[in-house]
Order: sequence, then C-alpha cells, then structure tokens
Amino acid sequence: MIRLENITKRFTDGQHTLTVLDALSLQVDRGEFIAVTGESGAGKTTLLSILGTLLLPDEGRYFLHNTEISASTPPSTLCQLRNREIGFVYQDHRLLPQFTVWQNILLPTLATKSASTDDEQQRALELLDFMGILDLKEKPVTILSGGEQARVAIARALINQPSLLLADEPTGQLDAANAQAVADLFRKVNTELHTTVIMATHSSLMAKVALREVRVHCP
Amino acid sequence: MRSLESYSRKFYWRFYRLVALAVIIMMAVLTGSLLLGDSVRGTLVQRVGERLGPTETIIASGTGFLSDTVTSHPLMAHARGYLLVDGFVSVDEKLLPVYVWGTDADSLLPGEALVNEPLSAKLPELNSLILHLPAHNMVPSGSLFVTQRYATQMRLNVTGVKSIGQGGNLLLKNEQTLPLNVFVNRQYLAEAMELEGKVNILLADDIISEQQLAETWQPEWSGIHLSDTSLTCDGIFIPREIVDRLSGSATRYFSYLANEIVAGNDSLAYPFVTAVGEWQGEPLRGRDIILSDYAAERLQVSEGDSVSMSYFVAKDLKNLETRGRKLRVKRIVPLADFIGDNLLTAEFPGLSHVEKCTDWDSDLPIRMERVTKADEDFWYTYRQTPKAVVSYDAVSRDWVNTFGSATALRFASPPAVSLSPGDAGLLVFHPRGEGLSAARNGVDFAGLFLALGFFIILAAILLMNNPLLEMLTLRTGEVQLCRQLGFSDGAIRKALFREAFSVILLSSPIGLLAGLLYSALTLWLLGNVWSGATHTEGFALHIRPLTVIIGWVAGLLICAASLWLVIRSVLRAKHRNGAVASSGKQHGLVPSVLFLLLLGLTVTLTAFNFLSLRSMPLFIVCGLLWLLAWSLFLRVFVTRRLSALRPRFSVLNMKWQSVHTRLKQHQLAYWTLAMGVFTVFSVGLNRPDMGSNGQATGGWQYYLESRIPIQYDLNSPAARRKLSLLSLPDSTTFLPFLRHAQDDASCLNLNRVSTPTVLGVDLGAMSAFGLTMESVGPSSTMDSELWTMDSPQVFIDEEALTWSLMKSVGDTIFYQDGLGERVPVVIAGTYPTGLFHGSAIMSLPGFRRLWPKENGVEVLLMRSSRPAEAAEVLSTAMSEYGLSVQTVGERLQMFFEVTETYLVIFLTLGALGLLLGIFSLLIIVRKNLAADRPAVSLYRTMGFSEPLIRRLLFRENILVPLYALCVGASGAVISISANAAGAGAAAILLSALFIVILCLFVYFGIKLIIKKYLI
Repeated sequence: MIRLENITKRFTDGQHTLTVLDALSLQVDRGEFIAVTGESGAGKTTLLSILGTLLLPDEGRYFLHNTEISASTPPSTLCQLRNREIGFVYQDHRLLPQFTVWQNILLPTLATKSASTDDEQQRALELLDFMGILDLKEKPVTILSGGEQARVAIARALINQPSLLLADEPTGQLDAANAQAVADLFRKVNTELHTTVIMATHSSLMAKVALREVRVHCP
Repeated sequence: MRSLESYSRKFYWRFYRLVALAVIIMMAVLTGSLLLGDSVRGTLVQRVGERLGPTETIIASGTGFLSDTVTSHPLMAHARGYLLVDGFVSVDEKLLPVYVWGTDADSLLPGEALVNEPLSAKLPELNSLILHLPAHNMVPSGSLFVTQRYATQMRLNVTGVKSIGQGGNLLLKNEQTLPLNVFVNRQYLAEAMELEGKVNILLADDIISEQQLAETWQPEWSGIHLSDTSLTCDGIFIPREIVDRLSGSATRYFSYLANEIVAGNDSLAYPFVTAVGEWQGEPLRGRDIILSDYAAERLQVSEGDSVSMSYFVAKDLKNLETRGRKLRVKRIVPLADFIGDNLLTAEFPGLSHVEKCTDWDSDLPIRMERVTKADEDFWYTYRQTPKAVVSYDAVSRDWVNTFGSATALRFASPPAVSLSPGDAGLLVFHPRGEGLSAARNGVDFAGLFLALGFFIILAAILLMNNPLLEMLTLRTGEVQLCRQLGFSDGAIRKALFREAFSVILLSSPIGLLAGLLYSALTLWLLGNVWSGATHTEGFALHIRPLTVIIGWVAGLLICAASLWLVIRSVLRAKHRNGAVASSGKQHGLVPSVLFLLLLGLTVTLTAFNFLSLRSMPLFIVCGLLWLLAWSLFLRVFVTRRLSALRPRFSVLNMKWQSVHTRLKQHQLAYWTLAMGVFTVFSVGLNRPDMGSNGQATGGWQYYLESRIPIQYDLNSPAARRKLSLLSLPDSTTFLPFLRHAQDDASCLNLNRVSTPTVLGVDLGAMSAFGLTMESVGPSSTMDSELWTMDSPQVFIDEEALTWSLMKSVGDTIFYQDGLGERVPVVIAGTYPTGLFHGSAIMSLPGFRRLWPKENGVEVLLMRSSRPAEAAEVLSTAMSEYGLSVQTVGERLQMFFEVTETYLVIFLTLGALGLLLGIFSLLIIVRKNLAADRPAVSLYRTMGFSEPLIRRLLFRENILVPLYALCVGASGAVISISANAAGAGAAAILLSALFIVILCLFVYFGIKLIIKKYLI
C-alpha cells in the first residue's frame, strides 16, 4: 500500500540546512498498524507529513496505492487523496471550537462539496456510536474532556472511510487511562474497520498496541 | 516585574507599534483641534490689534463732518483726524472696494498714496492707481440741491506699502477679512471732494467718554455756526432735532430753488425763494408771498395780485414731482431788503459759485432754454438772492427733507438751550473691548474641528484597540499561566495595563508634536486651500501650554479607559469561541421583535418627517435608528440562518457558524464601517444646493451692490434717462435696499457679531423670500402694514440668527440710531438663509426712522426677461458707481462656499477616518486569520483545496463589512430625504461611485490579506 524509497527531507532557513530524514525506506501493507518511534527531532512528524502528502520529499520516491506522489502530482489530486484516502489525528486534536462535535466530524465531507450527504451524516452518527460518544453529538467541543476530544478527532479522521489513518502523538495530552482507551480505539479501528494505522508516538504503551514498530533516528 | 513588562513590550512590538501609531493619530487630532481653536482665536485677537492699532476711541461724525481743528483741542491731544471714504479701484475689469483714508500722517504729498499689503498684493503694478470716490461735499447727496456728479476719481502715485505695524490694515469693523486700504494726503482728498478743512473720523489713543466729549464739544466743530442771533450749518440743512429744540425762540428759514413764479404771461424761471416764519416782525400766512420789487416788476404784479409758484418735490429716491401753489402778493419790498438779510440765502453746491445760470451744475432737470437774459443778468449781479419770500408753514411739508428742516435760524434773543454732540450726529465708540469680545467669542474652531475630526478619533481608538485585542487574545495562555502561578486577575490586569500604557505614554509626546503639525497644516490649509471657509489668510499658530496639557491629559484618559476596557473584556472572556450549543433559537426572539419595532419606528418617523416636518436632525436620528435596526437584524439573521442550516452540515453552515462565533468583532466592524459611511455620505449628500431653493432668491436674477450709493429709483424712466440706462430691456425691474453698514453676521465673518448690517426694504416685496414672523405663525408672510408699529423690528436669516448672533426670535439687538441713541430693535422673525445671509431686514419706514439720513441705495435686486443683456448695460453705464453685478447664484455660491468648504473638510477628515476604520477592519481580519491558523492547517490535512480554503476565509470576513457599507449608505440616503431634491444627481452619483470604490477596496483588501496570509 505504501512504499517509501530512499526518502530524504531537508529543511533550510536560508543559511543552515537540516536533514531530518536521510534515505529512509519503508514498506507498509494494507491493514497494518505501525508505531513510528524515535527521539524528539528524529523526523516522526516529518515522516507522517510526507505520508499524508502535506510535504514532498526532496529525494527518493513515495508510492501510495502504487501511485507515485511527487512534485508533479497536481495539488488537486493531492487534496483529493488526502480527503478520500487519508485521515489525520493530532496530539492537540485540532477541533474547531466554533462547531459542535457532530459538525467537527462532518467537516472533511465538505472539502469536495457544499453540504454533507445523508449517508455521511448517518456515518457520522455511527462513528459517534462506535467511539462511544453519541450523547455528545450536539455539544460544543470546547466543553469536552481530552479523551472525548481525542475520540471526536479520530471519528473526524474516519468520516470519509480512509484507507490510511495517520496519528501524530494522539495520546500525548492524555492521562494513562484515557491514553489506554484511545490506544484501544486505534486497535479497534485497525481490526474492525481494516484501516491501516501509522502512529507516531513516544509512548511505549502505544508502541506495544501497534503490530509493528518502526524506529527512526536522527540522521 | 518591570523588566518582564519591558521584555513583553519588545516581544509584542509588532502589535504595540500599531497601538503607538493609533495614539499618535488620536493625540494629534485631539490636541491639534484644540490648538486650532486657540490659534484662530489668537489670530482674530491679533487682528483686532492690527486693525485698530493704538485706537481706543472712535468719534464718527455720522453723515456730517467735523472741522479738522478739533484735534488741536486738549481733549483730542492723542487723536488723529481722518477723512474716511468708501471708494474702489478697478483692476483687470474687476472692482476692488477700498477704504480711502485721508490722513495728515505718513508725510504724504498731494497726489501720493500708500496702500496696505493686501491691496498691494492685488495690484498688478504699484506705480499708480485710479481711485474712484463718491463726489461728497458738505451737502448730503440725498438732498435735491446737489451737483449731477455722484462720483469722482483721482489718479494717485503709489509711493509705498504701509505695513501692518504701521497701521496699514486699519479697519473699524469687527471682521477678520483683511481690508484694502489706500492712504492719501487728507487736504488733497478734501479738496477733490470739496471738503476742505473737514474730517469725518477721529481715532484717539485714549478713552474719551461721551460725557467728556459733550463737555468740550463746540457746535463749530460740527460745522454749526451758532451766534446770539442766528444759526447756520456748513451742510446747509439744519437737522430737524436742532431746529425743533431752538425753534421756540427762532424764526426758521428754508431756502429753495423753485421752478418758476408765474403771473399771467410773465414768469421768473428758477428763482430762489425763501420760506420764513415771519417777515420783519409780521407773520406770513399760507398764501402770502412777498416779492422783491425786481420780481414784481418782471411779473408786472402789485400787492394783492395772484401769482402761482411751482417747484420740485422729491419723493423716495429723488422721484421728482412738480407741485404748484397759488399765492397772493402780500407785499412788495425793495430787493435791497433781501440782499441785506444773509440768512435768506444758502450756498448750494453747483449753483452758488458759477458766473451764469447756464453753468449751473444741478441734479435737478433744469430746462436752460427757459432762462432768459434778464434772469442771467440778475444772477450775474445778485446770485442766489431770493426773488420772493413765502410762508414757512405753507411749504415746509414739501420742502424739508431728512437732512434738515431749515437752512437758517434767526433768534430774537440768544437761545437758552444748548446743543449736544448727538444733535450734530456725533457717535462715540470704544472699539477695542467690542472687537476683542467679538474675536474671543467668535467661531469655535476647537469644537468645530473636534466635531469634524471626531470620526478620525473614533477610528484611531478602534485602531488602538484591535491590535491590543489581538495581542491579548494571543496571550490568553500567558494569562492562564499567571493565574495558575497565583496572580490575581487584578494584578494581571494591572501588569498588562502598565505594559501597554507605557507605550501609550511614550508615544503621546510624538502625538503632541503631530498635533502641532496637524494644527499648523490645518491653519495653512484654512488660509490657502480652504480659505473659502475663513475668507482670510495669515492664520498664526498660537500655542497655549494649558491647551496642550488639556489635550494630552484628555488623550491619555481616553486611551487609558479604552485600554482598561479591552483588558477587562479579554480577562473576563471564557469559552470565547464556543459553538452554539443547541437550537440556536434562544437569541432569535427578542432581537427579532426589537428589529421589527425599530424598523417600523424608523420607517414611520422617516415618512412623517418627510411628509411634514422635514427636520434635518430628525432625519439623522432616523438614519442612526436605521443602523441600529440593521445591526440587530445582522444578529437575528445569522442566528436564524444557523438554525435553518442546522439539519444539514454544509459550507454555508460553516460560514454562518464562524460569523456567529465572532459576532461581537463583526458588530465592531459593522459599526465602524456603517457609521463611517453614514456620517461621511449623509453629510456629503446633504450639501445644500442653494440655486434650487426658490425662496433663497425670491425669483430675482441679479444681485447688485454699489460702492457709491445710488440716489435714484432705477425703476423710474427719469432715473434711467439720467443714468444712461435707456437701453435696459423694458421688462427690467429692481428692488432697492437701503443699507446701514454694521458688522457682517454671515458665515464669512468668524467674529461673534452683535449688530448685523441692516437692509431697509419694502417688506411686501420680501414675501417671495419666505419672510415669516413667529408671532403670526410660521407660514404667515409679513406685509409692510405691520411695520408701522412703534418699536423697530428686524428679520434675520435663520443661520445668522442661530450661529452668528446666537439669539432667537423675540430677542433684542441694540443699534445706535442717527442721533447716537442706543435703540432696542426686536428680532421679529426669520427668513430662510439666502441672498441676504448675515444682514437684518427692516421695513423702509422703520429704517428711515432710525437712520433718516442714510438714503442712498447700495444694494439692489434685478430681474429681466433678458437678464444678461441688462447686466451688461448696468455694468457699463454704472461703472462710475462701482456697481458690482453678480447673478444670485454667484452671490449664494459665495456663502455656500463656506458651508461647502466645511463639508469638504469634514469629508476629507471623514474619509481619512473611514480609511483608518477600514485599516482597523483589516487588522480584525488579520486577527481572525491568525486565530484560524490551526483550522487552516486542519483544512489542508482534510483535503480542502487552497482555493476552497481561501473562499471559506474570504466569505467569513467579507460578509459583514459589505453589509455594513450597504446599511451605512442606505442610512445616508434616509438622512438626505429632506434634501433629496437639493442633493443633486452629480453628488448622488459621486457618492454611489465612492461607495462602490469603498466596497472594492474592502473586497480586494481582504482578499489580499488572505492571499498573503495563506502564502
């Protein structure tokens, strides 16, 4: 499903150049649950951004579903790809405070059309149920607990039924109990929905939940 | 803590630099406006000193003259005598009205002249000038027996320019406009005007009271020759007041030029006849005539025979009527008897000192063909010796005039009654106090410019608040941390306040300096570009430390209050960005009802006002209510849209949800823009168009002003013949006005005026100008009959009454009448501001009662079927009179230039404020975008394309500003309902264009910011 070949990514501020990923190669099959670990600054988030097509590698090749993602890929294709195939979950959840739980979950459905469909709304309800937060449907996200917010974020990432779920330190702000619950949720998503999950984490607990651990080091 | 604040200031400098900019702008406008007030007031006060010099007392001789020997009296030790005459010079076919000062100072030789700086600036070359003057002489021009010449001219060599310090800008009126002065040798001027040895103004450097003058005044000073046996005057006619006072012990004489005395087929052409009360102790009755033996012989009559005498009688404005009387010869006396009584003759100018009758220079239509050789022979030998004497009582009604009721008085015994300066028409003024009061209480430029710049101040406050709000919102985490560290909210507030206020404090001195620059620049603009509002130049900056301190403290207080409110609101805000929890209907009902009520009230009030009251303030209130109503509607609409869209989540839902979340900020943007557009455009569109106001012109086409009073009725064929105006179209008619020149109470004068110039006119003709009397009712038009009441009354135009005089109908103005008496004049009503703006209108009878000797016409209105042709004829034929001919539109434009200029200033400052408002709006947008940064990042991860993200952000931010612009513009349209006709299509189109430009500016400004932000 995913093939990375000698991926190199550098950042420059005009004077200094920092190589974050250096000739990284990785193969991920459909349905895998991978934990990307490594010390801070090792390039976990950069790797997830490349996988999520938010960044393009400076060198090397990236194939998603056997399609190469490169600088020549049209931006609209990348947008479509992100919208249909990839879901993101962040450490700070990035819920939009002006919307309710239900609206936050439906947000990705509006990237390609002006209104969500009945199917999507139904799916949102199912996801809420799946996450165990159906009763929070009309609540503003600002009043939710961290664990609840994480669930909403995961539900939002899944609304378009992506084949790939990318999570960047999803339990970073959660206590142990909530972190465990979220970890279980990811596992559930992976096993029940057959979604490929790639999760960057510092947490050994989360790493153990994953089926495979990929460790990245500072170049 | 202080150093932490300092670090924070540096770290957040990108916000604080905007705060500093806003403080500088606000402080500049606030302090600058206050300094402007001081400077204009200071300049006006300075002008009083410049125009009066050391003068403390003015003694004016009224319509008469004073002997130049007056200044040798000890009381007049510090006084200078002037012969002051209104004249004009012609420059490039334009008439420049000038004051001609005949003076003994300045070592001027005959034929030499000095001009003041303002006049020198208008003269193309300074070598020489031709001065046009009224042909004054001792006999008032309004009387019958004067020469044909009403105007004269002098060619003068200009030897230099008299500076302000040398008294070049001498002016006796309370006006800021710089006078155009010509100074000439007094004796030379007096000779040219046949006024040798005379002055008409005394300027004293010390205070001379009326009482001091009364104690020292001698009749000889005023040309009154009083002895134990007789009284005569240099001005020929003895004022009625003197005659009435002395007539108990006196015989009155009135010398007159009759047309003829006829007996059968014999006649005497143009004989001088004297009316007396008695002849040699024998009273004369109605039909009695005493002839000289010479006259009896020529008429071949004896005692008891009948003769008839005819003579001219002058009605208004020398409209002549020939009247005749049948008389009976009571006695025939030797001619020597008449020759021996010098009181029987008077020396009329143009008649007395010529060799032959055919050389007579008289204003009367004398038919020289009727003068025979015998008449010439008599004249050659006996000159104006009368040929007959008639009864004074019989002819006095026809012969006496406003200048006097006798030409001589004879006393049987020395008169017991003494005369006073008032009897001779002497007036005493102390101009400095009045001038300073007029200057200090003049137009309040501080208030005016604070009002004009109000929107800039408001926009500057918003400009200050927005970056503060943005910065403090960014620092909510910091605030939370401080709370966690145990800081109380009060302590946090104080720390934030200190940090921000130090920026305000540090930038405020720059604001004060900017205020000085603002004030200096505005003064320069007022004296040059915007001189239409001030009609003068040379405003000087007057800096009062107290004013600067007041401006500084007021500015700091405003900033501090605003800062405190911003900090308080940020600290109190919790869950600022919370979504609408459930139905969204909880905010709908009350605002909906309020909106409907307000809208209904606005529409009803506007309709009522439009149909009946037409009150401008009410229209503005309606406009403001309109803004308020639509502000509520914005809230209602957003909430309802959300509710309506709730069942299905959509991009629209996202947009309205975002707008709803930031409704407070959007309301701020709404009020900034809507108020700005409303204020600027309602003022702009309310610019009056006087030409369209029929009442302002009364249907007349031309406004004529004559520098030299016209003593004729231009409607009469005789006057037209005399003045070479026969080529005037027959349909041409005139409405003449007498003028008692006082201060100009129009908007052209910045001084506070207490006695405006009075125009005397037939009030019946004024109905076309919408003259109304409050006590009768606002729609009632006055007719002249009502003006026969005892107390003199005036009408004053609405604007001058309210703004210049600051009085209302029913109040009293005190004028000095022709005798120097202080007379209360009641303000009886008003008329719409128009052609006579700044003048008081009085009925002719009232005017004549107060100022009987001021009877030349200086102002006329004209209409004609061929107005341009008539104007051309008048300009040519009456160039000697200094007749300025302007269309009523041009005249009105002169006044409206002032309003127009103020409006331009307001629009300029308002537009600047609006730009600042838009700048503030863009800062709000930037702040919103900064707050949206995580959302934008999220949208990207979710596959939202860049154009879609841009569109989303744009729609969220453009909606309210465009809405505000539309509401503000429609509010302005409501506020101009009263002036819908007057606004003019051009102004409306221009305003519409400006609105479109504003919309485009906001549209592309927001677009650009979003584009820049997303890069």
